Amino acid sequence: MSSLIEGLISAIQPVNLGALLAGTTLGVFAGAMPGLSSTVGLALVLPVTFALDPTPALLMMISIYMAAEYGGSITAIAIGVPGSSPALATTFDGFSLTRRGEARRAFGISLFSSVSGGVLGAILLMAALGPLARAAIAFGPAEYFGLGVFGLSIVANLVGDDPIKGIVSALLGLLFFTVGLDVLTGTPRLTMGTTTLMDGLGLVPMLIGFFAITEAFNTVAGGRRPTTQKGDLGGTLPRPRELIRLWPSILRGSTIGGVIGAIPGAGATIASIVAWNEERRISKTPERFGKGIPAGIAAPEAANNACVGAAMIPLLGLGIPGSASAAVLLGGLMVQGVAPGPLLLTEQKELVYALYAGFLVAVLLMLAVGLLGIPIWIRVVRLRPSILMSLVVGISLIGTFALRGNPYDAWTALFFGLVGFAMLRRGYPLVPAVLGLILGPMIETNYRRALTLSSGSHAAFTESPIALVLILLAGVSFVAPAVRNRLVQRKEERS
Amino acid sequence: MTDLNREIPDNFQRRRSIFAGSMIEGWLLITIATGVLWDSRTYPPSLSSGTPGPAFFPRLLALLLGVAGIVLLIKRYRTTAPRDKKGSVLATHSSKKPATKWKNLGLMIVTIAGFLLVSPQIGTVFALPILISSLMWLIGERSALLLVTVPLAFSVFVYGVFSVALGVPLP
Repeated sequence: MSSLIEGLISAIQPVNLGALLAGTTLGVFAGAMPGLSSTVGLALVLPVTFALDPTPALLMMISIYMAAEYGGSITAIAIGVPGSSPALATTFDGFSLTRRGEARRAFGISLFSSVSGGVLGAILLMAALGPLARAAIAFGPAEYFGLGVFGLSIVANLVGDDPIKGIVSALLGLLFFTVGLDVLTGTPRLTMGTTTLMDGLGLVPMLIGFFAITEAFNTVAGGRRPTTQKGDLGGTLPRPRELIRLWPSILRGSTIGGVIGAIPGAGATIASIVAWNEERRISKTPERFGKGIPAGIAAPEAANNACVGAAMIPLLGLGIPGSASAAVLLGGLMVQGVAPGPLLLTEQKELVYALYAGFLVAVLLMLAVGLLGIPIWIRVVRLRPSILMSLVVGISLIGTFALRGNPYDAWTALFFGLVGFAMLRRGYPLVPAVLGLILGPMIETNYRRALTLSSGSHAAFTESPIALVLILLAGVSFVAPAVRNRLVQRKEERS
Repeated sequence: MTDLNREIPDNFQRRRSIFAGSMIEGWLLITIATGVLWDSRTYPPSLSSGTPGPAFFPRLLALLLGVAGIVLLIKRYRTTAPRDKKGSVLATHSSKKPATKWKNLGLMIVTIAGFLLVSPQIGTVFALPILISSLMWLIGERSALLLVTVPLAFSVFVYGVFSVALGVPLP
């Protein structure tokens, strides 16, 4: 405890506090800007941290990482475009609340849940650095395959009225992932003989195309307006009683985020989608999810912020980055001469405790920046559709280009905008396709790796208890919605 | 006797167009599946260890997409418009969907594509105001003041944030 207090004193030193505040502000901005993300934000400040001492450098980076996860929800709620991929699940209910004129309520729930998830993730990091790191490292290809299939089983809950269309959407997403070089052999697949497609289609251009450009196409084609322009669009902040009622959802979301975040390679996007789906699965009113239910914002937002602390467990304990952002953070640590691993806790105890305390201070700063920023986010929502949608397209194209400095990515976003528009017009949900693109690499690569390690025997998936449980859960998750619908139908027929 | 001159109800018009769409989608999926199978003929089907190679996953997906396409086609042919006992198409009330403004959509696509083509030549900072102004006009903005000030302010913002503050080189 005394070490944590010493760490707290270190974290609130003017230089360190300044680094945390700068990181939080930049993180919220990076998260909110479509095309930027925590990874891009971290990469952009990496050169700046070279000039800092290890403690402020590390604190700046963790605050960017933490705040960007919250920042992603701002555009998700305001305009229905996830600022970064972990905020994808927040768009389902967050944007629905905005359309109903309750944007302020959605922002409040998102901020409170993000702060709670961030604190719980930090507590998890402090409590479980050792044991969870060992559990996470036990994941092999078979377990990752099981996790990927389990993640994809969520599609069953997102297919809407026509299961075939949902399945087709997921298959198209998986097919989009296969474009490019095969990860294991380097064989070009579906590249049409061009070198441009060798790097694949990319998740960010797809997200921007599907959610930003498709929305603009819908607006210009007369399909729908992005937001209601009449009445009080902002609404009021959520009452303390409502936030307290959301605690079970926040706790569940944080737990899911904590567990998935600690598994290297799984990431905040999967955690937030799993959290949203679990919340819907256990709800007594699952049909209200996706239509603006507060728990649909609280669970994924708590999950993606809890992931930040959890992702530090394998990073600090074993030197394994749990996400792309953690990989950039690892690069920053190594430049500073900090070697993550089992010896870190004994050799650089002060730095580790300053980091623990820094997490808590970063969360408080995120709360302050978030609360001060809500009026600004509301103004964004109130913009005329002609201005808002034009700026969304402009910032999306620039953001897509800025990601890798590759103009081809902006063309990819335009392509996905057209595909998304066509799919929506024909009643095909977009989210299963995004899930397919996210989970495709995890499923295919680990399936083939597991079979290579077991000399082609599928027993690899049944001999591992974790893999087996995940695959069985996936089966249940695939079948459960159909069974539930059938039971509801029968009940209605009887009554 | 069926009245051949009777106007076809709106609802059936809409349903028929959906069915026609399902047929197009079914054939489109079968075409995509065939294309993927054709392209994957050059990928190694399996590795030396006997485990699945790069062809396995695309072929599996092509197969599933092909099956989904066939299911959509079968559904299209098995579904018929609701009729009464005499065999006449039943009229039901339905709300008309707003007509799609295809011209505006086409212009928007051309505008974005034009921006992507032109910005490397003249620079993003100069191409961006034209893009934003054009998009605002297409979405319905007619205020000359806004059509000029918003795009210019946005371009300055983008330049300040990306080029100056973050050091991201823009085309």
